[in-house]
Amino acid sequence: MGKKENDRICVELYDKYADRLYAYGISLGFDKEVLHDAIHDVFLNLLLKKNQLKDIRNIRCYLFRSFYNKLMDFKRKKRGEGNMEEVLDLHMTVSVSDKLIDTEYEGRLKKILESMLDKLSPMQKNAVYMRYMYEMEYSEIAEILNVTQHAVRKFVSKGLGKLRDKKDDIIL
Amino acid sequence: MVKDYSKYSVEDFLKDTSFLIWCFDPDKESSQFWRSFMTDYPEAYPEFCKAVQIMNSVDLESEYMPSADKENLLARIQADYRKAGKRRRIGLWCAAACVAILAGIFLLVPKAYKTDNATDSDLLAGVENIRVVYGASDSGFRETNAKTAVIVCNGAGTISVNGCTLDAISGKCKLIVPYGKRAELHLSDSTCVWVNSGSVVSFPPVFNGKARKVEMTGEAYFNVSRDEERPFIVTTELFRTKVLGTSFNINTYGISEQSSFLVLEEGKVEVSIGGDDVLFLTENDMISVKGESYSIMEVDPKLYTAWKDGLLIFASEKLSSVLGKVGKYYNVEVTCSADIENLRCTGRLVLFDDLFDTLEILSTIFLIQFDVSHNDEGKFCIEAVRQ
Repeated sequence: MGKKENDRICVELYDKYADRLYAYGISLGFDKEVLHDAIHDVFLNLLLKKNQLKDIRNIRCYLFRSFYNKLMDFKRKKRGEGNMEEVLDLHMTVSVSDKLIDTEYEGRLKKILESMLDKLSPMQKNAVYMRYMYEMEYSEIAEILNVTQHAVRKFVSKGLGKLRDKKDDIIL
Repeated sequence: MVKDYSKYSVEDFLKDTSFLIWCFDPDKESSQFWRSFMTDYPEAYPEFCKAVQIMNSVDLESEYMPSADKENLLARIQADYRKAGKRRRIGLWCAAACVAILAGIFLLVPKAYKTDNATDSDLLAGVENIRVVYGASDSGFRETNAKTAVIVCNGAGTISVNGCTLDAISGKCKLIVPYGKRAELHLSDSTCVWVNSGSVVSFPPVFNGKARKVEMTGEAYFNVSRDEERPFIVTTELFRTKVLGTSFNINTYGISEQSSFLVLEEGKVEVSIGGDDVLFLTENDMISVKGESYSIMEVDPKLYTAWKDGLLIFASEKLSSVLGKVGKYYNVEVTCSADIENLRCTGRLVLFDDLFDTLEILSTIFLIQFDVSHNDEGKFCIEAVRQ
């Protein structure tokens, strides 16, 4: 792959992914400037890699992962070493637009849903976000968050397990 | 304390973590669970349905980068890239420059020639978003990840894509509509073109000269505004269509087998095949071209143009063909088992935004169900089987 071709692909990838990375970063609670810097670094690295571009197996995963790592580094630097959460926490905002319910109730539901989503573990939130927004595979999410695939799966279905126990109780 | 699920209200469901996760990210296991839940707690069913309905209207929101910021950031990245490149290569520069200048003379010419001749299927390959390309050797482009797009040429030489205006453009542009997407193109003479999935249309931002010329592959429906002075000419690989002001549909999906067709809904058109004979078509005529031969017959144009209104219309059509067309619309592979492929249907099918809403209608009509799986590339594969 020539340099020109490589550069062109990088620009296409930027066009496609800059918005997604930015939206994800906003949900992770970072400032605009930090996100700009992180996106800058991700794509500059990609451009400088040149011939290695064809070796990247899953470009989406690669971009999210290096973006995530940049943000993780930033947080580490700011807080110094020490206690650091395993997975970055995420805040999800939702919109409710059911034609059959009025706006006041919509607002109430929005609050309920957002507070419920906030109660999920950071891992669950990241998994829900990635699955819902980009239909990512568990293996991809695990690679991005730098955890094992098992960890993502386990966290996603944890709530489900709890509920099933309760239900069995009632039947008995 | 154990909750009594039979008394669960809408809000109780929405406050249930597993219910929420299931709605946002359903999988086999959780779907199974909620199905058996409904059987076990029929009293809660109405409230459960309401909760599901509300969740269907819920979207996760995301905040996108303002486009000015996006452009500035790209400029910054590219500037830093050039700087980094210079530092690295400075020692090699002199030698490389001589080679580049010499090689450039030989290399650039064939390359430009090749780009100009890039086929439409090359353009479509790997493109996921609706895209307008422009400039020398298709160097510039703008795209949108929406399912549909409206592209407007305002007549003064500028083009907007879903309301975003591009810089002034000279020369031809190409509109690329990948599989699973559709677009509406308003040309500078107020001709409107509906462009179906997997199509490429080349057009100028403003029509100059004596004729209005466009080129296309794939499928498009043209509603040409009348201008007796300047005929409108559509060129496809197999034939050329000349009109003054009419509406018609052209389909070249069969081009790999050298076949294409045109259906005339209104008015008159002239069709020339391979530059020789000129054929005159009238309303409801369909011309099918195969290689250098052709046939003309009368048809109901609605069957061929309904796609632009988000409908498919069938007249005693085999299930296998119905599913093929539905699959093409949503860009997924939908097949059926051999025992049901000859079931037939007549009527109109509404193509909902969500593929599964459309499949649900089919499953009720044909008494079939759909098995969903993923292939190795992670793409959906759907097979219809008897219920």
